[in-house]
Amino acid sequence: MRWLRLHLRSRRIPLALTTVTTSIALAWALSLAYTDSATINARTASLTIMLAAVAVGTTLTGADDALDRSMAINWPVRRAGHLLLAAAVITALLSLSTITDTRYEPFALVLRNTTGLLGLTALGATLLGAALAWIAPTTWTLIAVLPSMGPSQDLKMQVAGWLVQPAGTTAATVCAVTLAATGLLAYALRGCPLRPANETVSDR
Amino acid sequence: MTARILRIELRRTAALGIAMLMLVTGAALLLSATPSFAGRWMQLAVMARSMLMVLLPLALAGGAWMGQRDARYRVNELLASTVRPRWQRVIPTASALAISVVTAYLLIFLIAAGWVVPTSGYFPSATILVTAVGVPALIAAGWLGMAAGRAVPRVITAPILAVLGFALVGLAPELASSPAMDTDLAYFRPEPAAVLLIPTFTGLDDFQTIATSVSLLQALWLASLAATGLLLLGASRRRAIAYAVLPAVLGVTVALPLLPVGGARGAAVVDPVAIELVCDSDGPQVCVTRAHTALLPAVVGPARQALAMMAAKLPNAPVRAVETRQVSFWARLDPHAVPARHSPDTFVFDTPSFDHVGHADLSGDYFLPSLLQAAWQQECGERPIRGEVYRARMVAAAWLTGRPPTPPGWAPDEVAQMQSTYQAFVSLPEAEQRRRMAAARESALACRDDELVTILPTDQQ
Repeated sequence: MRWLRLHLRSRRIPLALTTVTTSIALAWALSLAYTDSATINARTASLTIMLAAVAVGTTLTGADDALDRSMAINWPVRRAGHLLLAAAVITALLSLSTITDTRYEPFALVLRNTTGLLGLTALGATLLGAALAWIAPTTWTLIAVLPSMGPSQDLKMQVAGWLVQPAGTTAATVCAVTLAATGLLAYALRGCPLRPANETVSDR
Repeated sequence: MTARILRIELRRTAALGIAMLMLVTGAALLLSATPSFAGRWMQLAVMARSMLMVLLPLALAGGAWMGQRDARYRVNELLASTVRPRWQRVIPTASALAISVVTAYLLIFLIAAGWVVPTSGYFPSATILVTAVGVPALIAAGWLGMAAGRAVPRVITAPILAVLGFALVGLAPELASSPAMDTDLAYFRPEPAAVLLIPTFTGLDDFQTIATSVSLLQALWLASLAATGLLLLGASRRRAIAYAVLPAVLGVTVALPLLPVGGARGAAVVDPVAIELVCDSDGPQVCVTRAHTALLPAVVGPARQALAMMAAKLPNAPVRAVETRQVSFWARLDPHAVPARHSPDTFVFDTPSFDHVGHADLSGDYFLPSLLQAAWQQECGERPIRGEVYRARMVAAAWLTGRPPTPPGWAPDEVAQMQSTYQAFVSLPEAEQRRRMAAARESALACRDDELVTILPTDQQ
């Protein structure tokens, strides 16, 4: 138990978890206060999920990766577990809203957006490092929530705006699954790029 | 010295990356929507401004990332101990960010201008001013982001700022106008003047321009906001932070009372030069507006064909085809304004749609039938038009062509009904057909569409 606690602390999980919970709760509260519909709008939900995924992105690396890797631990499994657990926690927190009058739903859309954005974040972390992992999900989400990007029959729009397509849109689902699988595989197998110790600190 | 530091900052900091990200995102988005601005400078300027919906959040996030730099490398205490005022260190970094975001914005505009220059026949000077207002907006976003990044040096600050920025520029104007259906007709209640403090525009008619005073006021307010951002960034004591807010407050107090209500519709005015007519008098006269000069070569052929068909069958037929000069109802603050009516010797046609390079997109054979129908149309201002009127116009246009109507995209039973109406009509004696069509046209030109419907036999079965 002590090891788990230390691991969580070294990855700054408490802070990330606070951010995830706060953003989900805040968007829920705002939707409850300012809209009449029972379903939280796909744009609001996507922006919230993006913030949650980006918060998880800051936990994808420790203070010193080179030191971490010298340990005799099965890192690929641990990294994959970290991501999958994060996806489960975010989805669970979002699904908690289904017991209230303003809900993140349908579940298929919540799951698709969460896994896709987490995959994109993990991919960014693998390529650029955890401190820059926010760039890709933030940019893509900003594009997808533009007013001109609603549900569409056009394949290009379905991919560019996969976050706001209705649940069950094939192209959007394929896009999310691809991002999730690539991100998971890349991060599990390679992890974040090695940097000098003082640069790897993504948050203090 | 400052210039040298500035060069190093430009080369080695995140400023370059931020500019690249903004350039690629903005250019890709803008070029995926070329038909909405191709060939028209004013539309390009408005599109560039609507791109700010993405560019401002990115500038905020990028600024936040740059503002965290000292804290990230744990040198802020070291640098605070040097005997130099803080602003001396802030100015080069802030300038580097400002230069890069502005360059990205202007490059996006220039790249997209490649779709405007070849076909545009009219360059309104307001284009420059409308585009230029985006410059202080981006600088303000970048500097405010830097100040926020310096205050809260965490990775999550950047995406949170992006989301907040998007909520402000993307969602707030929508919220201000969404529950705003007027009771007597479906049009929007004017938004409060504060909406114009947000520098994004979402739509403008081709014949409109943004009032110069509005652009200047927006530029003033955004410049004062940028000054606040810079002062916050340079502030090292509490009192300085309090003073830093002053320019923005001053900017709002000056600009807000002078800005018009109604958002973009309130800021727009009709551009008198854009609606001047450019005519081809090489045969029956065909005119388009100056803003749409590029459409003329493609329109002349079908328009003359329509005029010839009308002359062959219709008594007192129009001899001149003119493009409509009315601003679309969604772009007007007062949709009840009644335009001047045109005389019977002219027919007024709707603007055809644009293709990717700014020429008329006449594919799908919709244009000639719409020209023929225009003989039975008058510009009567906004009012509800019944479905039968559309059907009657189609039958009338079919009568000119001599073939039963086959409008694409209509329900089969409605097409069948129109065709039976048409058959019943052409079985009348020819003189009677002509008399009825002329009478129908006369009443339609007097804005009494109901007579256009009753003139057709069996239509009210």
